[in-house]
Amino acid sequence: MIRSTVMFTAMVAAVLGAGPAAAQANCTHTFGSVMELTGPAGRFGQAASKSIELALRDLNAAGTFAGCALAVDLRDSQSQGTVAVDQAKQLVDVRRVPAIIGGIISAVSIPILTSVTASAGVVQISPASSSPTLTQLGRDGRSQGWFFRTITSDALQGVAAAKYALDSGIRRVSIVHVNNDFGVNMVREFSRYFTALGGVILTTVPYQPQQASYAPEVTRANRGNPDALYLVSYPGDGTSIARTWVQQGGVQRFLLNDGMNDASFIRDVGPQFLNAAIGTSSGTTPTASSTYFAEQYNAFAGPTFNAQAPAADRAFDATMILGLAIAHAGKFEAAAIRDSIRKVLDPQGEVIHAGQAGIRKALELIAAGKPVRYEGVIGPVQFDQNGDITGPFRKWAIRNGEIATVGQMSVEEVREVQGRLR
Amino acid sequence: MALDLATYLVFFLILALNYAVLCLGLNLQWGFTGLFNVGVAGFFAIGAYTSAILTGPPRPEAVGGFDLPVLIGWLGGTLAAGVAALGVGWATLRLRHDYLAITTFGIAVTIQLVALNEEWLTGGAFGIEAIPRPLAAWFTSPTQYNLFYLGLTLALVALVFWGLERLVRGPWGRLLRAIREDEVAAASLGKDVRTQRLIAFALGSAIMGLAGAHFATFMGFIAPESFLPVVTFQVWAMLILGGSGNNRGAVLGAILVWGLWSVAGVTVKALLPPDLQVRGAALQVVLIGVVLAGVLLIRPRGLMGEERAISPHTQATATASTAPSSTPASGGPDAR
Amino acid sequence: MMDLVWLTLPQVIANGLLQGSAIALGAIGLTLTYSILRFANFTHGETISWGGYFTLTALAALTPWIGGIGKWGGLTFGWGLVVALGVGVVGASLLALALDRLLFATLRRHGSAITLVIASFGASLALRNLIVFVYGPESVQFTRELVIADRWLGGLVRVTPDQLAVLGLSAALAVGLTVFLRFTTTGRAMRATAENPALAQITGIDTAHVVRTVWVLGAVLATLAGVFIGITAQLRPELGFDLLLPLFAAAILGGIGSVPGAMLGGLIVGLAESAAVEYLHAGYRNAVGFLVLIAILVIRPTGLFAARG
Repeated sequence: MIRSTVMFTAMVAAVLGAGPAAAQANCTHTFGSVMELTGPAGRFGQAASKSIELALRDLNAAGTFAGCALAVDLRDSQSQGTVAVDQAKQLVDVRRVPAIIGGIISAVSIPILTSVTASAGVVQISPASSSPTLTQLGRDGRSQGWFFRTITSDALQGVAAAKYALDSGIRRVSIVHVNNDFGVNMVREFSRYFTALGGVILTTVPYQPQQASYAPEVTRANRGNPDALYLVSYPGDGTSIARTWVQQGGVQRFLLNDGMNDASFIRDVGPQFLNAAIGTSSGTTPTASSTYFAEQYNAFAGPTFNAQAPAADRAFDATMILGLAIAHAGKFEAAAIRDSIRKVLDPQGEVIHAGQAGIRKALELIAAGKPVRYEGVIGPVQFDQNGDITGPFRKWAIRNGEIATVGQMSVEEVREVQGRLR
Repeated sequence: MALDLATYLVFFLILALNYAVLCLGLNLQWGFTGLFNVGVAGFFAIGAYTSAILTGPPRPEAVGGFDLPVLIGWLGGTLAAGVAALGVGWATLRLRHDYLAITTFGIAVTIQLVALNEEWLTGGAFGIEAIPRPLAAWFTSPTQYNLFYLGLTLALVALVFWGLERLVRGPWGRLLRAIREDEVAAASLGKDVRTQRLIAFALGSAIMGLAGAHFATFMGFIAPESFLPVVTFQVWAMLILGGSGNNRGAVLGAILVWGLWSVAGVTVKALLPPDLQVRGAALQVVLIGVVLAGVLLIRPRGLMGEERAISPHTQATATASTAPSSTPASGGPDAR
Repeated sequence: MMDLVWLTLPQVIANGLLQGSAIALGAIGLTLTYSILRFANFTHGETISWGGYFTLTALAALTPWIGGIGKWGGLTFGWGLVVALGVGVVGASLLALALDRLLFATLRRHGSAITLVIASFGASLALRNLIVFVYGPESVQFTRELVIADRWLGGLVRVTPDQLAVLGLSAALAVGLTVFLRFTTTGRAMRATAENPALAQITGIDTAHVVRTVWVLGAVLATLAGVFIGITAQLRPELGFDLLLPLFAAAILGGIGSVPGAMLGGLIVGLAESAAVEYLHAGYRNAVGFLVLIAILVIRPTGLFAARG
């Protein structure tokens, strides 16, 4: 009953959201998206897809893009590389889309890039694949400039986390991390700098996602009484691990990664156990965009989708950037869109935030030929020549069940730490 | 529009025929020999990784890439999967067939975890990238290249198909079927049942390895997530739906089931209201599951049943028991 | 460092037994259905998940009357859960019977064992994603209450009352079912059908009734497994499917059809996983159960408890 009410409300909201657009434009530009809607990464892709729809609602309500309303043809990769490339190829060849947003896991994003988008000359923006391989593909010239991602490099976040942990008085740490490219890379960078800066790592335990119980991993990590647990995970498995850690009497002090600053995580573990939990996220102290996104997401998507899911905020930004780039390009063509993507993040431009008012302002500026700088949910970012973004990190702590931002670390600061140890 | 569709179909067929090669390998094992191999993804992975390591560019922190020609990579992948299967088969082929299923499954899980954890060999969670494609420099457009690769793929399928047809229609094929139908009787006729089964198992797995090499070359990138158990189940669904014991059925099943996977999304999208597109994606997989089960309800022996390959005068009595169903039923009394 | 490593041994064993008891609960159901229905039934995993979600739904719907999950002493649940579990069991049983009626009954008459396996794979795919559609992809919790584990053996082992309850219940179920199969008419009819269905039918056993009974029994055990994992960890749409392979390993390890075998098999798989994480490589946790299984099968090809060859 509750469910159907929610769905009905969402449906009404969607219709209302789409209403003004229909009044303004009588044509539609459809871009593509290949997301993990089902399979192991399904919950991330679903949350991200709702963000795309939310951003589209705002964009279409605010104006037209290259003369038309925007729409997305959303395809499911089923978390499988073969299905992903098949769907991406359908989008490119049959639907003739000039841009694709996706995918979440590298095993989906990389095959789409190497066997579909790069060769066909189609823009691809991944909101979540953080694998260093994608940087390498850019460096080798194999992505030919068609690939962008709205996720910061794990390497930098690992360094930021190491510095933040030591500054917070954590010297001896045990690590439990998800055993995938994200977790492995993050922990590798963290460990290198944490030990070089004088910290001690007691144990590093990789975990396989989706186990019924994480007691064995927790027992192993708890060996030798660490000062804190560095948990590199997602809400869900991460919740289960943190609960088991507390149950087994582990020290109630956590270092957490981007994505764990999540209301459902805090609620399900219990705020009373998380008062000494700290973590890092990409982005700055809360901005107009991040506040807007936090307010709007669940009102739009309904309670079953998670605004803090790893790709939700970044898929929103990816769509916003794509939409503004289409407006900037003035035509719905891949090469023009590609060249405009960096222009809507112009460091000299006027700052634009998420929301319909912001988009209207951006469209006016673009029409007047003035530079704009979209500052999204993940903060002020810039794409480098490989399509990677660099941006500041936010240091946060959990206090009485609320996430409090306690500071910020600029890219320069992170690079300085890196440089000191090279 | 028609041309666009054709471009897509070329791509679709390359992937579908990749599954067809896997399916042909499985058909030799299950359809003709009655070996219940649920480790398809494992042998597929061995072929893919071997070929990627042999043909790929050098990697700074891992073994290989040896930059060898693609042909060597494909042969290497085939051989590696075959040799691995010899080892696996030697230890497990004497098991009852559903016990064999779970052990081969376990081996596939182990192989996938080796791919994930042994970074020095497989690139670990990061996988292997920049796997070269043969003659890529000769073509100017991706469509032309895909057309060429489809030709290559068709030749590969034809070669495997022709080779298997020759084998299974010859005396060895009859021997395999005899073993499948009644192991004890075959043994009592002085046939070395164990060796023959082992050869069939290794040969089938080698074909799966070849499919893996073909896959890695086409995708240009492989990672552990490409070799999860779902691949094994897809291939089984293809074989059983197409009709096991029939090589044409195996190829047909691969194309149809991959087609089902490919169009289910668009079909479900068309039926759902816009705001249910995200949530409703789950229904596309529901649809795939229902269609799989539904087709089997209507045609329990698959779309193409097993062909009659027994001498005509025994046909009348034999047809009733030619399908793999007459191998010892799973569970139950045969083991007691 | 060496002494420190072995100091965790009691906890490693406890973890293994606790994990193993959850696997055992599922494996007992699987081994019974496997021995009588004669095919590897993938939908058993989905029965586990659906049983858990049915119970969760009942708990939410009945809260005005039962006042929530309840509380027994140090446990995080009480009468409320028992009532909801009753509803969940009925739901899962109806699901299992419906599947048999719609799909498996027909295939038993016309198809081969492998057709049944692949059809059950298709049905499992559909049922699993139906959960995603209805309940969403995120994991859910039965209760947020978190009890810090009691210390035992001078602090070497930490176990929560919930975990002890699951361990005790699995053991009690294994004993109860063994007695049921050995000493009741229905139990004997089930064993006879497992041994030889044709002969059982000739001797006047209502095999259709036996098949229905085993579906219901399997669903009851599956729901229990789903709910206990929900209580000690969390519910996810893929819960049952991800658990299915350790379940198969446990059932085959014990010998198909053997209830004590499935119990022992579950415990062995649980212990192997726990020990692998602690002493070998945590990244290979999912493979260890299988490797133990393969090693045992190579030595004893019919499993530990299989009936006479």
